[in-house]
Amino acid sequence: MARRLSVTATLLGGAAIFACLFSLAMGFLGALRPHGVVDGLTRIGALIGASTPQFFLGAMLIYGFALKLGWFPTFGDNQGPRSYILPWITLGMLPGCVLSRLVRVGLEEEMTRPFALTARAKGLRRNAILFRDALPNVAPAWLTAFGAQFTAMTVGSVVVEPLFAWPGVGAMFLQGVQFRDFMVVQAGLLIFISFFILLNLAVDIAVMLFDPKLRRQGDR
Amino acid sequence: MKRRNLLQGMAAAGLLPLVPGFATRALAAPGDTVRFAIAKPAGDMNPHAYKGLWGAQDLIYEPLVKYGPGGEIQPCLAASWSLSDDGKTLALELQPGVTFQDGTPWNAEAMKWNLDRWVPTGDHDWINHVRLFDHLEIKGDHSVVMHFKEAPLSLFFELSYTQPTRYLSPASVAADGSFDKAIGTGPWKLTSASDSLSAFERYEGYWGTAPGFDKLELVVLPDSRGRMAALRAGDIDVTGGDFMAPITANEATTLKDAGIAVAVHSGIAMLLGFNPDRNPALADKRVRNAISQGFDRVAIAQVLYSGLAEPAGSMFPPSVPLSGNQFAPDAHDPDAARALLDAAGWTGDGIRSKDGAALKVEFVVSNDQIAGSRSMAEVMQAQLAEIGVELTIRSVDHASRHSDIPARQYDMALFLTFGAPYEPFGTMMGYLYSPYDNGVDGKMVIDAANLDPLMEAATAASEATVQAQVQAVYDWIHAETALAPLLYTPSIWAHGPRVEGFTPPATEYDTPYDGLIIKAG
Repeated sequence: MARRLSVTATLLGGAAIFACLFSLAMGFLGALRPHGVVDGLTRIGALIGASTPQFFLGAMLIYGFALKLGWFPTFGDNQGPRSYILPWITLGMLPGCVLSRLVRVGLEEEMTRPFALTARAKGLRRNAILFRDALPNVAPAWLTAFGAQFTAMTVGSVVVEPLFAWPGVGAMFLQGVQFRDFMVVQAGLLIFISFFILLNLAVDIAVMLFDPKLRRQGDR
Repeated sequence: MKRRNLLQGMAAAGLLPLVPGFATRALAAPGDTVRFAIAKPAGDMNPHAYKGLWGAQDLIYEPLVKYGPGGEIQPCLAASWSLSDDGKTLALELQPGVTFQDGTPWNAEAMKWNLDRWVPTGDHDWINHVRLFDHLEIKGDHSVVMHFKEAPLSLFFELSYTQPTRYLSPASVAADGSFDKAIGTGPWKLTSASDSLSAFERYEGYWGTAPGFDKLELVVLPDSRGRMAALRAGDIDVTGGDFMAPITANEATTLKDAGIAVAVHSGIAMLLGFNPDRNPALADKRVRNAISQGFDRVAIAQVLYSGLAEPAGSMFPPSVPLSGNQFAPDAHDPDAARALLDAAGWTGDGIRSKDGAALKVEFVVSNDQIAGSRSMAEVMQAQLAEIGVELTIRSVDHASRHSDIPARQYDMALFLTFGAPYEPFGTMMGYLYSPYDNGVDGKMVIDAANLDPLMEAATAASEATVQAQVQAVYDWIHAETALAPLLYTPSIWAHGPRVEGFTPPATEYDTPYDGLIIKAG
């Protein structure tokens, strides 16, 4: 079980990093030139990414990058980072796309607020304001949504692990369902539920630390 | 905690998966290793427990005689044999110079130790020679005589089975006698096993012809798309088989188009079972006959199996020993089917009815059991609607299939014959003889009054009369349309360009490593 947990942790951890970086990059790119060509492309990309089921995306990635280009192995987790990339992208793409829209919309809202207008009036560049001032303000909402998406990613591991033959908790759970092994299904559910609770707790703490208003409520 | 510290901590935690060895599993570099893809973990390696992947056990354990190509019985742990005229005594000269993989010698004592483990349990009485076994007489270190109460039919086929008639090292059990380690006399030693990989290395002390490569791995790839991609990319070398990792006809076509070598050979039969105990409409032979004529076997074979399957008219394909006379497959004849239903009293436009009850039949299929069976059921649903039968498809998972069918929770269901070397008697006893518990595979026909006596006569027949007695069973099934043979489905294997010398296995319970070598360079 420890080995399965470590496999699933590797998958979820990497996919979470990918979703995080991808969403910030896409959202930021879109916000740089609102309603421009890049913004439109990122919007369409996010829509497609958020609508593509993981089993289909995974199969397409295997076909394109493992089979045709040969850059990555088609299965397994035994070849270091090379074997991690496709599963991470498969699992992280959908939440990354959903979160990118949140970043994009959040940044646009922040840029209409007085502090941003003041900064622009003082001669600061839009990129600098977006990165240094607006992005931290989007963080609490982004973190809350990220927690929910991470939960969905945990469920997604049930699809992605068998597809890439990763012997994690998700694959074990699916096998338990297929063979009606209730003990295994219960164990899998217990792990998932415990993980959800811990994750939500971590997100709440992180949001409180990020948001000074929430952090200082306890001081009053 | 400061926000900066939190961010740094989160970043560090996020990078954890990149640390080498954080989550890895051992998988040897290709080189001298041939990789087979399997759909499910190899599981329990006890050769006497009917669990685990039988093809994996075939690598480790050997029988007294082997089922060779075309059903030829070949020496294995028995070097020679002599069956008495009355068929009740079998004298065996055991293969000399054979040792188990732990160094324990293979001899008469080891054989007796194994027989004592499985014969008295009663769990294997479905096998004729186990049920009729009397005692083992040890004549010498490598000379024994098996005595039977009566002459067992299909004795040599039975001796070649994968379960339970394979021989385990007496030193491989725990102190309480329970199975502990997988140690046989076979050419492959199990070196590691997990839910994702079973690794074997060549047993250098093997008595027979050594395999042509050093290491063999059974890699678990549950998703068929993943298996196909891995084969095409060269990440695995061989996959396929009815039980190891089935390849559908469509997948075979795709693989062929991609330049992958595909081997198709005679497989097993797919049969349609009726359950009149649950659906009284199916108690009428005319209704069963109408259903059998109501769907188009030729079209299904052509479209869904890309022409690799053949319409079936009998319970077994002609390649099976004692398969009897081949009956012509029922032709697709909607008019004849409608006439049969009319004669049976099922009338009306659209879905037919009788005494106010509509002609509805529940069809249980499991894609986990038979890949593509859901699509086939939909074709049959459309075709039977044309003759006024409403087919309701209940698509179930692997576990439900294995609970609902033995519990007779179906009106119609698909069954597969067991394949060599379990044919014909293994399949017939399992599916047709009501007193025998067929476990998760369930029963196809239950008729204690008519069928069971025929089965008893067939299994008690002598070699001289068995053909006629078995034919009597087939004739009764055909006359009653007690089941509807659908297709003879192909067994499909595929291998990548890294290996050569592939030949399909003699039975689908064997792993086809014989003659396989890794290409030079």
